[in-house]
Formats: sequence, structure tokens, C-alpha cells
Amino acid sequence: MNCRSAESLFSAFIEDELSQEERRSLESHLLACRRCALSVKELRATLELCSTLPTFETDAHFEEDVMDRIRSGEALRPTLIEWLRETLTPERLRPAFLAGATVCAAWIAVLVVHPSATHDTPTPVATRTPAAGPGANGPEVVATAPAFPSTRPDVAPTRGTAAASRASTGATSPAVSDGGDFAWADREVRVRPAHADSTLPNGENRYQDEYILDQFYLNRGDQDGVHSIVPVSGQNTDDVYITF
Amino acid sequence: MPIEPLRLKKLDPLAELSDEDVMERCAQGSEAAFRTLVSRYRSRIMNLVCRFINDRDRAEEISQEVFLRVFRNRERYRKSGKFSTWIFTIAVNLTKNEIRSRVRHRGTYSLDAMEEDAGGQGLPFPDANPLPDQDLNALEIRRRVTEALRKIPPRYREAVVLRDVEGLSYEEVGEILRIPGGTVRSRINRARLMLKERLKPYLSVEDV
Repeated sequence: MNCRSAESLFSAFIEDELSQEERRSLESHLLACRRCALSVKELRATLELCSTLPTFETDAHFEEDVMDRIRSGEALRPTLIEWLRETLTPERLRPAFLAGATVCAAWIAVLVVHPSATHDTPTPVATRTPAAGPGANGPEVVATAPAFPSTRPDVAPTRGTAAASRASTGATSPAVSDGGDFAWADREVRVRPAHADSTLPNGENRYQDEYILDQFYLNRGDQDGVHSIVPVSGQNTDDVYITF
Repeated sequence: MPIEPLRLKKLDPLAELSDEDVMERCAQGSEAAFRTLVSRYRSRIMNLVCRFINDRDRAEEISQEVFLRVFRNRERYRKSGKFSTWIFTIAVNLTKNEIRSRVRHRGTYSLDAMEEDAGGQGLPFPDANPLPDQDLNALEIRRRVTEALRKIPPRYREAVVLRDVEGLSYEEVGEILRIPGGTVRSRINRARLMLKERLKPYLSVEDV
């Protein structure tokens, strides 16, 4: 046994809590190690000093103060943790849990019996604030396609056009959805915001914000080297700037 | 020779009961039982809190709060556990909360800072009565022991205070501090060795 391992047994040795083997081993070490033997003696003396420590007494009115606080009720309000512990007991949570489980079960049953119930209501997919006119700083317009194409038989997938969009948007709230199955329906088509272009006289808008309801392709000019974006419908889109 | 009338001594029915039985009466709504518990434990709780917080007024408030918690949770107490363990657990937890709160406000845990909080006077030493000259040395040694106890790290101090000052068993200390028995023994041994080093100048031990 070395001094370090002996030191860890000093308290147990003094309190006679060592096993017979540990005690024999420690005692033989103490006989050989003067430093550890002195240390044990000092530890005994330290414990004697600790046992003579005086006690701190409470005020004479301590008991009455406690009783006054109890009678006033002010001190008996539970703390937040106590309140939570009281509230979140299984007995109290069980009714709420059962009610929630019942609602979930009912909802699942509705979905099983009538699976199209959630798709009947058409959802507006885009809103637009029409530009107030030249020079107006309209917000960026985002046309978002529905996540799931409509499956209604009365709505045939038609390819919208910019012209059709202009006709359908009107001047008020032009929610637009043709329910088509176009590839672009899965992404956003952003039209450059109608910021006033300071490089143009009178702050004129260079671009009109429009709803884009068509597919476009890049027309590579093989001969003249000039590329252009051409809608599938064949409309000229030189006045439309598209970012993807 | 006149015969003295027989006087019957009024016995307190709660005096003979264990803490657990008294607590059971308290849970049933007995104010006398609660008062009995207060009188049995007020000094021990105050003593324990004072060993950690260098502010007598605040220690008194916390001690009161301990008994309020006991009263508030009297129906929650299970007789299977020792009452002393239960009430000391409440006291230790409230004391730790107080220390955490001070650490949050000050950013560090410092007994000197606590002394400032207490109005710069610190904790008055309990022996207020004037002592003869021969006892002054003993008083000084007690003061040194109290200071040495406050200087050791809190995790060791709480273990050694519960064991050596309050006289609880290792199992009770482990239950109160929620640490395993081996850790309790290790911390107490370490704390005693720290105290021994700090008190070495005051130990009268003859080297053999």
C-alpha cells in the first residue's frame, strides 16, 4: 500500500469502517510510514475540533414568525415547480390525454372513410397586388403553385398564357390557379419587383410585374448568337424578366 | 408536618413520539405536532444554513422557508423515509438555490461577497457571551475552524457539514445530496484532509 491509497482510507480507519484486510494493510503501512501516521493523528484532532463547533441559534420569535406566515397564507402559495408538479400528475393529465386521443382517432376515421375530404376546398395559391401604375413600388410578386395538382375531372389541365393571366387577374385580387400539371408548378416563379429604375427618366418602371402562367424555354440563337426566352404559347416575353 | 399536595406533571403526548410519527400527526392537521417539529429542528436547520450562507438574517429567512415547505408538503411526506433526511434535503436544496441566485447576480461564488451582502459585518460568531481569558484561545480556535470550513469547496463542505457537524449517517448524506455511498465517503475524506491542512497550526499533535 502506498501513501496515496492509504490516505483515501484515513476516515474509514478512524471511524472503524474498514474491512479486516484493509485495516491490517493500513496498519502495517502506518507502522512503516511516519508521515501517514502523523497525518492520521492530525485528522483525529481535526474531527475533535469540528465536534466542538458552536451552534447558531434562531431568534426567539422564530416559531411564532413561522406560524404567522402560515396563518397569513402568504407563504403557503406554491412555487412554480410545486404548482407544475401538482398540475402535471397522471390523474390530472389522464382526461386531457383521453380527450386528445379521442379527437385524433375521430380525425383518422374521417380520413379513412372519406379520404378526399381534405382536397375539396380549393386553396388560393397566389395573391397579387396589382401595380398602381408607372412609378409605383409594388411588392415582389410570388406565384406559388399548388403542391398537389387538382384531380377534379371538370378542370382540364390547360396551359395558361401571359395574356390569359392578364385577363384573369383583373384589377382586384387575382388569385390564379389553373390546376395544370406543368413542370414549373413545383417551383416559384418570381417576377422582378417593380422598383422604380433610377436610371430611367421620371423613375419609370422598366418591367411590369406580371403573373407568369406559362412554360418558357430558352431560344438559343445559333446564327446571330442572341438568346431569348420564349413562352411555349409563342407570346413575346421581351418585357418579362424571370429569375428562378 | 404538612403533607404536600400531589402534583401531576403535565406530559406532552408528542414528546415521546418519533419524528416520523409527529410528522404523521402534522399531516393529519395537528398544529401542536408542527410546533414540535419546529422546536426539534429549528437549531439544526439554522446551523446547517449558516454553514453555507454568511448572512444570519437571510439564513433565518431560509430556515423559516424550510418549515413552510414542510407544512405545505406535509401530505406528500412518506413515513417510510426518515423525517430528518427529508427536512435536511429541503434545507440543502433551498440553500443551493440561494447560492445559485447569488452567483447569478454576482457572477461568482464568494464568501467575501456574501459578507458584503450581509452589510459588511459577516456572520457574527455564535458565542456572544464574554469569556474568561483562558477560554479566549478556545474561542479563537473555533473561529478558525469555522473559517476553514467556509473555505473548502461547497461540494466537499456540504458533505462534511452533514456528517461531522450534523452527525448524519453516510447513507443519509448520500440520500440528501443524491450521490452514491462511495462518492459520499470520498468527499468526506477529502474534505477532512482539506480541513486538516488548514487547521494544522492549531492542532496539538505530538510527532512520534
